[in-house]
Amino acid sequence: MSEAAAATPGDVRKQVLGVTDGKMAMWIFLGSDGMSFMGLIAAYVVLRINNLDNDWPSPGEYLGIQLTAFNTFVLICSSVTMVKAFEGALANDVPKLKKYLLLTILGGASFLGMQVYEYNHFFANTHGVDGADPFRLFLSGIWEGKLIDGEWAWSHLKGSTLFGSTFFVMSAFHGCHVFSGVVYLFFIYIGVCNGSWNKNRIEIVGLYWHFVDLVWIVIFTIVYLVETKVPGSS
Amino acid sequence: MSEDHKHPNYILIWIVLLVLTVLEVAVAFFPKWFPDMGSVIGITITLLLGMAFVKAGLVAAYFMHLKFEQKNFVIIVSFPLVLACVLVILLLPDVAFG
Repeated sequence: MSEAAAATPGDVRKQVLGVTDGKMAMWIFLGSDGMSFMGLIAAYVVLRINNLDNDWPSPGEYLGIQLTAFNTFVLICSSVTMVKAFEGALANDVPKLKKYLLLTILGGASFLGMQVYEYNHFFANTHGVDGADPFRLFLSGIWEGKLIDGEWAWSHLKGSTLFGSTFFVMSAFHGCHVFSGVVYLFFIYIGVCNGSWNKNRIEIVGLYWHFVDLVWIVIFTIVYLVETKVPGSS
Repeated sequence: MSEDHKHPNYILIWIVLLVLTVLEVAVAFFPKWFPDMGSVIGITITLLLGMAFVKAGLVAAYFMHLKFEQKNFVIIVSFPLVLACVLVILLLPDVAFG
């Protein structure tokens, strides 16, 4: 019986793709999740191109590019610590795995912290210093402020409603993913501490985490960096 | 399986990603630094999207181990990327005649 089984080729319905079921499932999820992000990105691109004449604000003027660039750096670093953790898992090196998992969680949490700081700044802030006009970026747009008779007067910029809402939808949707990732990693970390872990699980959480990093690379570029306003044309 | 492949040099990829990020931010400031070059905007957008694409590709290929998976698996999981491009292309008429 066993000789006959050895002689027949393996069941092709299994292991055709050479990955575990869990990994395949995570990839399917990432595919559908990627489509959600792509829907948002496509909508953003269309809205932005269609509103170029309508004073689409320059992102660099309103968003903190330096802070977010640093945030991108943190997320990329946490992706590297994640592969290091997986390296540790492959080598059955539990201390290394734990150390790098913890660093990855820290990276994700710092990213979220900075995003909260950024949002707080948009809701409550006076961006301008030393006489420059402050601004607020609310859920639905941008207000610029002027001090008139000791009172702040807010004016709503033309074309800015889309700028604010698309910005918040995209960055918050991604932020929710980072949050879920941190929670996911935290439970995996607890599992490692309790000794109930396997390489497959670590690889799958890694896939999710790298995907979140990958999406951020695209969002950071499109939302923060791409300038569509010719300088000097106000 | 992932045990089979040699470990890529993650630190090298990390450095490439960081250098590309710094370059991206620098390119994003081009229009500010050279305000008289209005036509530079098209170039910066192309450069930025190109670099983002390379970075995303590096993350997918090395960090997500796609480079070390079987070909048919890679084809299956990259299919959403094709669909995503279709999504954008289908919206282009809205941009052109919007």
